[in-house]
Amino acid sequence: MEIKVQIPIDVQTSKGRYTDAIYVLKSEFDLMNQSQIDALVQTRVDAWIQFRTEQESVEPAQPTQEELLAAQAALEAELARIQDALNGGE
Amino acid sequence: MADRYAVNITGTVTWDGSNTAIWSATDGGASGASVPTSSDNVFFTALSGAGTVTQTGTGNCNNLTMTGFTGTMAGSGTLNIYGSMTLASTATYTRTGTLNFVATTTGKTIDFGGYTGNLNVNSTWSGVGGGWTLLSNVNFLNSFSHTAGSIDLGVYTFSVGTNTWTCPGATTRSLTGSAGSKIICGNIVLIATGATYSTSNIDIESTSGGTMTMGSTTWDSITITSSSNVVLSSVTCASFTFNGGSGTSTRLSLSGNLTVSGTATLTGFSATAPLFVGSNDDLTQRTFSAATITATNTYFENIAASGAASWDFSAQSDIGDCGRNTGITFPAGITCIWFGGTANWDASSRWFTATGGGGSAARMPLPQDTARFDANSFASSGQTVTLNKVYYPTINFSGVTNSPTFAAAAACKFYGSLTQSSGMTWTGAGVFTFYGHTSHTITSSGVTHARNFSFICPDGSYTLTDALTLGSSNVITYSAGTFNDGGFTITCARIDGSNSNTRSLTFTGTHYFLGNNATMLNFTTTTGLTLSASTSTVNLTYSGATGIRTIVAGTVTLGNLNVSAGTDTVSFGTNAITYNNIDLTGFNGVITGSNNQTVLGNLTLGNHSNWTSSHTFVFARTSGTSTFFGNNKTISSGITASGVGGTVSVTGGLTSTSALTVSGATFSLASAVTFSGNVTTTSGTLITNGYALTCAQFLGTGTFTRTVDISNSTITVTGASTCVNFITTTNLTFVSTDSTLVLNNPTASLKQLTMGSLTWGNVTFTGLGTGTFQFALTGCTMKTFSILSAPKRVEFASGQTYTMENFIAEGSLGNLITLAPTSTTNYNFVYTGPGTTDNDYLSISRSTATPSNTWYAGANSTNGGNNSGWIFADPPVLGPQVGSVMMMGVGR
Repeated sequence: MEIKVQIPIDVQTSKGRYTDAIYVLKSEFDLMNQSQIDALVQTRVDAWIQFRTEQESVEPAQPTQEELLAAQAALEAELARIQDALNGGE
Repeated sequence: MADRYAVNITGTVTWDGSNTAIWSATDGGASGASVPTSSDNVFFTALSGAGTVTQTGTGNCNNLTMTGFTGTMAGSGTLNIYGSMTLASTATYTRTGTLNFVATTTGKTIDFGGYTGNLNVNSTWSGVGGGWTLLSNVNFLNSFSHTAGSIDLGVYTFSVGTNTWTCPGATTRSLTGSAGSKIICGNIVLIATGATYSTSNIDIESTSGGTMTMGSTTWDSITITSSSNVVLSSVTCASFTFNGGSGTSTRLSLSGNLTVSGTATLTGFSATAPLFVGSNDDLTQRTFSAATITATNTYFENIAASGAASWDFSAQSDIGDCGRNTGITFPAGITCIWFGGTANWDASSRWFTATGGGGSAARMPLPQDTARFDANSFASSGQTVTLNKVYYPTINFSGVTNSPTFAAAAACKFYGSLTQSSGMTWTGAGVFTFYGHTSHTITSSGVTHARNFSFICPDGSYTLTDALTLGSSNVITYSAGTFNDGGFTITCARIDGSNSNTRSLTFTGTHYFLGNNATMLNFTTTTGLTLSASTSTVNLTYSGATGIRTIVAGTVTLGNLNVSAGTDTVSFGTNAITYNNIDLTGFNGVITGSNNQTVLGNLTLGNHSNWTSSHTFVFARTSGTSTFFGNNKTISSGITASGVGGTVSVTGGLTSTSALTVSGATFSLASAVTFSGNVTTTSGTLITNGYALTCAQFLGTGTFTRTVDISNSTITVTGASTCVNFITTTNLTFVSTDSTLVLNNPTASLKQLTMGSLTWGNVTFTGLGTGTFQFALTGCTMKTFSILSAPKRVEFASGQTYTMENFIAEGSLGNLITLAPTSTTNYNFVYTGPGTTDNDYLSISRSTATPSNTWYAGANSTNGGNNSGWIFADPPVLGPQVGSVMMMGVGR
């Protein structure tokens, strides 16, 4: 049975508040000092900030035609359901 | 009814609607007989010739008999057969035209006459009241449709090849067979309405890759051979066989219950290409009953096994438990540990029961197993495991070293937890769908994905144990089951939870939605949804200019909303949403929306370029203060302050082209605000704190407990009609110390004030319009009452009293200020200030002014009659006083 220690992360970054956690084996955690823990946390946070930065330079993919049609179908189904309800159906 | 014998079939001849050269009244006789009609029996015989007859257009016959014919039947025309059909083994059939069996009486027969090939034609069986009995095996290669009449297979096989056997519509029809009869088809679609299926003696051999709609029928045997997803509706049979192909998506999806009175045989292609047996919707458990069951290489999910069969597969190692199965005993799950570097997931030789290659697991992990990648799995860097299958168990990557890559190009279905490890990398964009049926977790360890995630776990739950990060184009879909973000950050394009399945979502973390031109939180359909998100924070971070970001669809309650970037359009949508705080700082685009948005916390405007939304912000907190930071911006939204016990404080300057309604809360100004619409206080408190308030109409009438405190403020009323209305002051606390009410009328329209007999501060009328100011119904007390433009007509409510400390009204020559009653009864002016009034160029009528000797109308004013107390002269000029003696006009 591996016992792990949770290192919670809740920091305000340049990209906004970030909440995460790092899990390390208790045997390893017991050997870590605070600066090592801080470095571990900082690495995780920096990686997220870098990912966010990279993603911001990428224009998000637009919904596909299939997704749009599916969304339309869902809306129409919902509309039909509402219409049925209004008409006294189930 | 006549007989028509085909003659002169040499070379290629045509059977059409006019060619009589091939028809004779007798076998081998002279040609020239009329073209056969629906009542004529048609014969192709040994004397017809050995050529080719090509049928075109639409032909008709009663019986079609081809016994002895040695020629070829060709053509693409349609042939309606009103009787029986008998083919011959001596003939050749190349025709492709549709055969319509349209008999309306029973007793018709279909006999291929020893011909063992197929007719490459569409066939329809549509004669109402017709009845056809097979006298041989028949093979119609193309589409088949049975819409009316009775088909009796006898003991024969009716094949439509790999095409669909369809029985659409609701017309009365029947299908029967005797022992040994069989239908061979690609698929079968029965519509039970109006049909009688006496099919218990009929076998089905199907190569279905689609939906088999069986109409709750009973069959002898059903044998399906497929590499695809077969959706099978409720059906009963004596035996059932499914032979799975080698594909990764071979699946028997039950949309109803499957009842097998005899043996059910389920055969997956191999241990690494299993047959999946489950529910068509992944949500509903289906009953699978059998007297005997044999299964190899088969995974089950959502199956309630029943019947006399022993569903005990514990001795096998090829039966997978994907969850939510009952009545089935599966082989126990084991931990399979990867050792050996690069390979495909289904490389059974790479799986072991101990780390570092100790003890062969002898199988690719089953869904009930745990797949483990550990520190010994990869001896060096640059190694890749390709997830080339569909169904995956709990996977634990904890402690994996040497930075392995896991390639998942195709969709992956997970039936357990996913614990990733820092240092590993995912490639591919296959969707990860989580189907776990009990409680599971997802641990990312900082590992990111460029793929969509989806959750379909109707009786299961997934909880994040750390942050989940997907790319800016990747969507998280919640279709069913329970999801809890664990309070951790989720980063993705957007989320979609719109469906009608039961699902419970708990969001308490801070989330970032990077996408654009879509609905960021889609809950369009909220049926079955339990959403707990009131303490979460939603951040929309797209910084581009493209498209419309609809924040949320569906009526839900969210926590905080931050729109921190973008020059695109952000829509509050069409649903009434409740937020805690809304912060638009950083957003520079267009705001739209069309339904009320409830704010329980603060609202902060950004620097929007345009605001086209006409929705209302409803401030509803019931304690503490909501701050509305207006950022000196103009919005077209209105404001309602409705939270009893709560306060809404507006700061930073704000202009609204809509209205303010105070209906329970305290609405407090911390900066000047302007409304193009009305400001109405129905209950609660309006307090202006010395800041300017501009509105179209200033309204406070009613009976609910309310306070209007405009002390030290200037209230500018710009509207027309009853622009000030406090007609009913029941339960009203009105405070106006050192306030000024300014009414500007630049138009010709009437401005009416119902002052509610209240004590106001200064009241000022301005504006060069010819419109009348009218005090209606009630009097009031004012500090300084000023009429600053002329000519101007001001009417006072007859019989009412207007008390003031000062009265400033000065017209000019030809521009009188008219003071008049609203009817023929006098109104009262009471002067409470020091000295006298000092006015001029007035026209006064029906005014009773007190106390005496204080109301000087001026020497140039006009007495309109029925006045009292007015002195139509200038007030006396007062000189310096010496002691108690007033020195007046003292000369030398």
